[in-house]
Amino acid sequence: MNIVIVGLSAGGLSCLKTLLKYSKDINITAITNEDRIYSRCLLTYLLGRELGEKDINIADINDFRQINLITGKNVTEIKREKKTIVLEDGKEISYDKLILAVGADPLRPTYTKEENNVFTLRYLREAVKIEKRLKNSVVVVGGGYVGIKSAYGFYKRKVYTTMVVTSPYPLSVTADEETGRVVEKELIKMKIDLKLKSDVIDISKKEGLAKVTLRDETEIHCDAVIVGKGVKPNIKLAKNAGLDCENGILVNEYLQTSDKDIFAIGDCAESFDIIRKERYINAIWPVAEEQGYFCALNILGRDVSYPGSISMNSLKMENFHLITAGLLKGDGIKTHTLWHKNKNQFRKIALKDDLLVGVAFLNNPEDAGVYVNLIKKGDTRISNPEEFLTTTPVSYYKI
Amino acid sequence: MKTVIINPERCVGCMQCRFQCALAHSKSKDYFSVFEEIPSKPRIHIVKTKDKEPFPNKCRHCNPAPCEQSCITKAIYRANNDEIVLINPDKCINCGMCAMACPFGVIRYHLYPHRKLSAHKCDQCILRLTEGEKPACVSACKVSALVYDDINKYMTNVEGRKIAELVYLGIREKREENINGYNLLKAYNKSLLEISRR
Repeated sequence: MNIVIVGLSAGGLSCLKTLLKYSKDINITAITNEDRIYSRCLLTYLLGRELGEKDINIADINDFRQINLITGKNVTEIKREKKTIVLEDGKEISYDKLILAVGADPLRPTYTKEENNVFTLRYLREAVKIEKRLKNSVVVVGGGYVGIKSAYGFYKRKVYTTMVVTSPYPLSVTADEETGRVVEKELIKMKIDLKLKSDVIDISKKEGLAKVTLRDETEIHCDAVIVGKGVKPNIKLAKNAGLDCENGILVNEYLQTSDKDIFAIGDCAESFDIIRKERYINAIWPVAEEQGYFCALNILGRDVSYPGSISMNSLKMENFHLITAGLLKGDGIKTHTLWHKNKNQFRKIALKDDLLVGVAFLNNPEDAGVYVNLIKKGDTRISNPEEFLTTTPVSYYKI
Repeated sequence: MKTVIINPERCVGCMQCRFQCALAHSKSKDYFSVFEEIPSKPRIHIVKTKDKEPFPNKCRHCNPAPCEQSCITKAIYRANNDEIVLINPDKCINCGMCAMACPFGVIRYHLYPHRKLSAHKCDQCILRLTEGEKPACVSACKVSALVYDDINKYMTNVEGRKIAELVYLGIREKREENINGYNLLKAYNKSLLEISRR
């Protein structure tokens, strides 16, 4: 069986490893458009100089001698009738099963035309460019996880950082207001100049520096601007091949696209969200790895259906550690919080009617996994939230 | 596959396993290791269940392991024929993803002897295993709540379970749906209470 994997980040790598582990007699081709296999989540640590350039590698290319590995090449076309894919140099590779793990590209708002000073942070080549450009000051646009983590990296390097956040508090997409305010307080403590309810209107170049104009006509001069406004899935390849796409490539519970020999995993695949109960893309590392594992099992003929994902993330900094999972705000969602003010800790659960839909943990990560998995079950009903918050979570495994 | 099997209904919560675990993983392997500069921390936790019974909670070395999948630096890896999940403290960057993914809540964050903060969990005493010894918590357990045995063999040994089931049926007339260790223990405690009141 000829298996072709396009993209070798979290999803592709996990799929490849599982295939190699369980099956010996398959012919695998893996194609990546970069020349090394590294972890994208570690780029902010690289910028903060907590890790060196070698530390972010998660696999060595030389380890995969038993497969046909093609690096530094893009895939330009999928020919579904001939069952081949075309590389950018015109070479055709035939497949029996094709796995698309092409990931997502960062969103580039209209003001990112200026190329010398404005960057997104998704690939290693971008991090290297930022490293070259960076001297004393930087502007981070966007208050999501990428924005906050890179701001933390710059804080560690003692680079003066300004954060521009559109919403009234950081982490507004995933967290509720109370959690967002905690993060805001910590960011201000780190001497990061936080500009809330503000937006970038224009970025121009001035004497080698970038001039950022905000909505209230404030002008900030800085060495580099980093834009972290979310990602959009790479669906061009699949769309041109005639596969069903909406926001991402639509997949069924076996992670198959509308063509049963083509699978899609990771940030580009629009799978099922357990809490939202609809199609949704949770573009995070653990989900991509999990999907890669399930996809490999399906290809090997085990037929295991993917149960769906929830959004979750962990934010660890010098003086706080925040874990959020699931939905923390929305229609009919009520939150209950247990604060330990003297320890600067809280536990928060979000309930929709009596169904557990979200959790947030500040500074006590130990039991977070139990709660996250209770959400993943999708049918955890809680009648007494106060009691639930105070008991040890292990007892909720009905033992 | 040999692994540590837990019989929670036998646990008395004496915490001997915790002490021996910390000792086995300490730098000096000496009883006074608590006075080391950075004390060794136990990797097994005794938690209370709903009925306030002690429950030894430790890493199950799942396959596939959610912590291994969620590790963004690949500091978590499998060793010993993929049977044991280990953490490489030098690679760990403390991002907290593994604690978020672990369904059993067994991952903590502690300082390691070489002054590096890292994720911290059971390693099935891999060094003791290579020396032909049992894991420290198992040899410490006096009530056989922790057993080191082949899991498939242990689960197929149904004789003891059948006897326990019969005893349970004798105590309780009405048969409940799932007869597990704790239900048995509860019923046993209840009957003891009844006898003492006579």
